[in-house]
Amino acid sequence: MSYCVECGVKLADSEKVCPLCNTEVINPNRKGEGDQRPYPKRVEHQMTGINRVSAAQLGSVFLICPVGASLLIDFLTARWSVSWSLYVAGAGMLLFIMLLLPMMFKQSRPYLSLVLDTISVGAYLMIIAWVGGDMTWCWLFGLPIVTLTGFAAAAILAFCRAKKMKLSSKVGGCSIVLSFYILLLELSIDRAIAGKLFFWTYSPSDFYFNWSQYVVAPLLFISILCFYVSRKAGLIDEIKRRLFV
Amino acid sequence: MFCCIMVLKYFLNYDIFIGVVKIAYQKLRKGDTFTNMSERKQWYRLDNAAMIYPVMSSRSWMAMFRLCATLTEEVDKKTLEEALSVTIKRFPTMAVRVRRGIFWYYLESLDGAPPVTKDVANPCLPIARGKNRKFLFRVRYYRKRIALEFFHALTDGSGGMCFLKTLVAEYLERRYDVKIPRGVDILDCSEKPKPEELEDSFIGASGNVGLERGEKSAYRIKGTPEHAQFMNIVTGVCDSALVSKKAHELGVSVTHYLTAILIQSVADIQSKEYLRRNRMKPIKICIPVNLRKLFGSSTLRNFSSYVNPGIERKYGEYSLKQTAETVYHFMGLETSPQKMRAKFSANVRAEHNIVMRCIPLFIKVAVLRLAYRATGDIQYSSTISNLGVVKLPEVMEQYVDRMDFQLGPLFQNKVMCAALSYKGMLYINFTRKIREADVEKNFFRRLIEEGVPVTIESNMNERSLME
Repeated sequence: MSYCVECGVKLADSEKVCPLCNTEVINPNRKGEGDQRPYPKRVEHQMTGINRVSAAQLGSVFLICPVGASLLIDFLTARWSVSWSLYVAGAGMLLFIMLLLPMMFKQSRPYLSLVLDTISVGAYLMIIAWVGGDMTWCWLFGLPIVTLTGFAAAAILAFCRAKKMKLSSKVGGCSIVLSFYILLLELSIDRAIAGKLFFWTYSPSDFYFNWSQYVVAPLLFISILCFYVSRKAGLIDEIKRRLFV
Repeated sequence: MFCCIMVLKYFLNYDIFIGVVKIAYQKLRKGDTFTNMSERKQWYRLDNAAMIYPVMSSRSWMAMFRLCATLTEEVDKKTLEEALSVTIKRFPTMAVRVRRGIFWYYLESLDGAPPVTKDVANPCLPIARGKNRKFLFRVRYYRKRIALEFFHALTDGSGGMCFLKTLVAEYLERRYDVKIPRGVDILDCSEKPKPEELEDSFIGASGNVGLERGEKSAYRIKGTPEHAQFMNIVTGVCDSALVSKKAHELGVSVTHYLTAILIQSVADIQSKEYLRRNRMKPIKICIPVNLRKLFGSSTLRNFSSYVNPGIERKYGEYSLKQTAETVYHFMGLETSPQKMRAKFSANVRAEHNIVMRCIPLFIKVAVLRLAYRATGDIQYSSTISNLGVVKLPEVMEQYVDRMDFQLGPLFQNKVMCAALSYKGMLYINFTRKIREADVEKNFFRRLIEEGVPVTIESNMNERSLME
């Protein structure tokens, strides 16, 4: 029987270190492992969460059922062609890529997911346009906005994941990205309405901004403020000191 | 129905169809399908204290506690299984599973017995749905030890101890061919269960006036979270007569004395808090109170309440003697039958409220979860549950070396303490869900400073198995 030199408690022979203070038991008279352990060398492992990969696989199987049924019914009723069922198939594809596919990755892959999400949304819009028989709105309006949103989301993600960047710089960076996004969004919408698809078909007079400037102005102000604050360590310290909870 | 029969007739061979109908008709006439089913599926309402446990249970948390008996010789699994299969018939409210009704959870009886499995170093894990043959208690063994882990919705410490004693008695009778006298604590398994053992005693004992349940939130012990499926156990073994002597020197009981030391141990940690707000919070310890003696009940289901004695350090520092006296006087006031009745009557009245009864279960669950998060564990800093002196008949005592009582993790509180005395030794089991052992360290150091030698053992070495 040994005593802990730190706590003064008597330690059972099974204890190699004091369970209270982690002080090692050094007893030259102690031989071998000592008494039997009070607990077995066996632990129980329980599944506490859902296995993501299995859940994704199961979800995919469930997803295939309505998609397959729709395609089959459409194929049989429309005499060997498909039309409306493509909406269901496209929606199924979208659900799979946005929800189930990321669950199958062993590690989080946000950029790859984002690229796939953007492509799948674009593809779904094209399917809708193709089935509807009018691709114009898709080329002029749908795809540019989806692409633009994808790039903006990627840029915001990059700022958010930057490890060495201060929080204020991240907020500033995201505000700038959002400003550009809003400007380009208005430009795209206006040009789509005017029927101009490509930037090289724009005339200089087309580059005017109306509603977006009211959104961009406060965003730019926030970004300038954030970048200014991020460069002033003393100011950050002062804010932390005054506002700590 | 007619359409179904016609469809079946069309698709199936006519002879097979007629055959199936004939067999079904014969089964119905004999009544061996539905009659037996209704006999087998006995069901019970949850007792008033158990209502909250299924509501708060999840894959990661269940209110569990563990009782162990260490014998003089190694446990024989087969004999234990035989003893269990006999014992469980005497305790029908233990052989149940929780089911969802439309308005309430209820207990549905099960056939057979749970599996007897080897013990583990991380006990009191939640019982996964459908596992353990659907039973809500586990039976485990390790070398000389028999361990039972109960879901709190089944019973409390006293009911669990009665089950353990009866199981061990049945085991010893089979193993050593001895005759163990039966009574109130160790039930006779040849008798039928008595109605008073199965009753919800809260209902019979409740009064018309309820007591306000709200209490000020207490100081919470924080620390590095332990592995989700591991609970640290530190057991301190000391001479119960010596502890009793020390308690009597202060003019209090052993429970009051241990509570006072626990409060002081938590106060040592609270003193190191950075924020003044945390340093000034009251330290309160939850002490379960067995209501059986107060209200003359012999139920085997939950029949206990609690009190939360403590100190308010914002008014100044308390010595151990002052703390013990505070606990003693607080408990003297709060554990009177009248006060206890008023305390649980509020819950019983809420349960019987017609509006409350008509609310669908899923709404009740959502509301109760929110209410428990806001008012449950946060009212106290830790828990100490003392089962008192465990006595066994002489013939049984010679085969049982030791008894233990351990509390499973609480919903929000991280450190729990349970104690019992057996054969002149006091077994104090600390269980915690944080890495830091500061509470136990302070507790046992204080006991040693008081002149009580303590022997420590733990499951710390087995922690590495979780990595």
